[in-house]
Amino acid sequence: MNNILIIEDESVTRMMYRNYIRKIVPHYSIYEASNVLKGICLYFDKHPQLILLDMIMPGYNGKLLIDILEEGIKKKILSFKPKIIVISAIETVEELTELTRLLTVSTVMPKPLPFETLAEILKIHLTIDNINEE
Amino acid sequence: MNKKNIRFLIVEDDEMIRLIHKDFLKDLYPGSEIIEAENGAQGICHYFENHPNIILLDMMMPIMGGEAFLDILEEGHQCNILKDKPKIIVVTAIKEVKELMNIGKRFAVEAVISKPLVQNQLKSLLKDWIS
Repeated sequence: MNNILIIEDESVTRMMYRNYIRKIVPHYSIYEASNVLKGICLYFDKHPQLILLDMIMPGYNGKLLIDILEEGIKKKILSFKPKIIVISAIETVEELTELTRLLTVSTVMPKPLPFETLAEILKIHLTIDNINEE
Repeated sequence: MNKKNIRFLIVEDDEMIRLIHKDFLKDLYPGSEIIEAENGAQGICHYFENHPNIILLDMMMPIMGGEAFLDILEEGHQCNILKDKPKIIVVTAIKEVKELMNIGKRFAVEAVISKPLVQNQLKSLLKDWIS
């Protein structure tokens, strides 16, 4: 399934990601969650290949989804493993090292994320040869 | 619910309690399938991957507790992502009455049972649902 999931509490940031992704990979469906609880449900429902995950959100943070996927992979319960791009204003090196050590996390990116970087990420993780970079 | 194709999910971190639940359910419903999870995170994965009909849910567990499990399901229903609604029985050691009442009032929760003496209550609940 050609699906991408954006989990981000700020609607403006979500919209920016969505519009940009739509432009460069128009054949992908984009799903959005304003909190991690909805994000978890959409992950299981839509099986996105790629998840853009904000770590710091009100209520539950992005770590909840990572914990669930780590447990699911460890116990071989999951039928589908996405690539997770954590987009976060990481404060310390320890935090960054901790995140990159996780099985489920493919890349950790600083926030705000420049569009050129997002294009690169899509190119690498979706294994697309030609993306529409304008 | 027909007892021939019933699927239980036990979400409980204590191995001994899981075993007791499992033996009890196997005796009552020999044809049923019983899935086990050690915490809420594994429980959520099993919920979505295996679609159990009845869930026994502990509240206090490491990594992810019952509260987050219920929050995910309720959000899924509110956003119309989830269609089926399993019957969730919270089996808890919580003794505080107000807290128990609040759990019982939740949309996703069908019943609350207090540990440790759960078997008679569980039996009568299940009898009403399973034919």
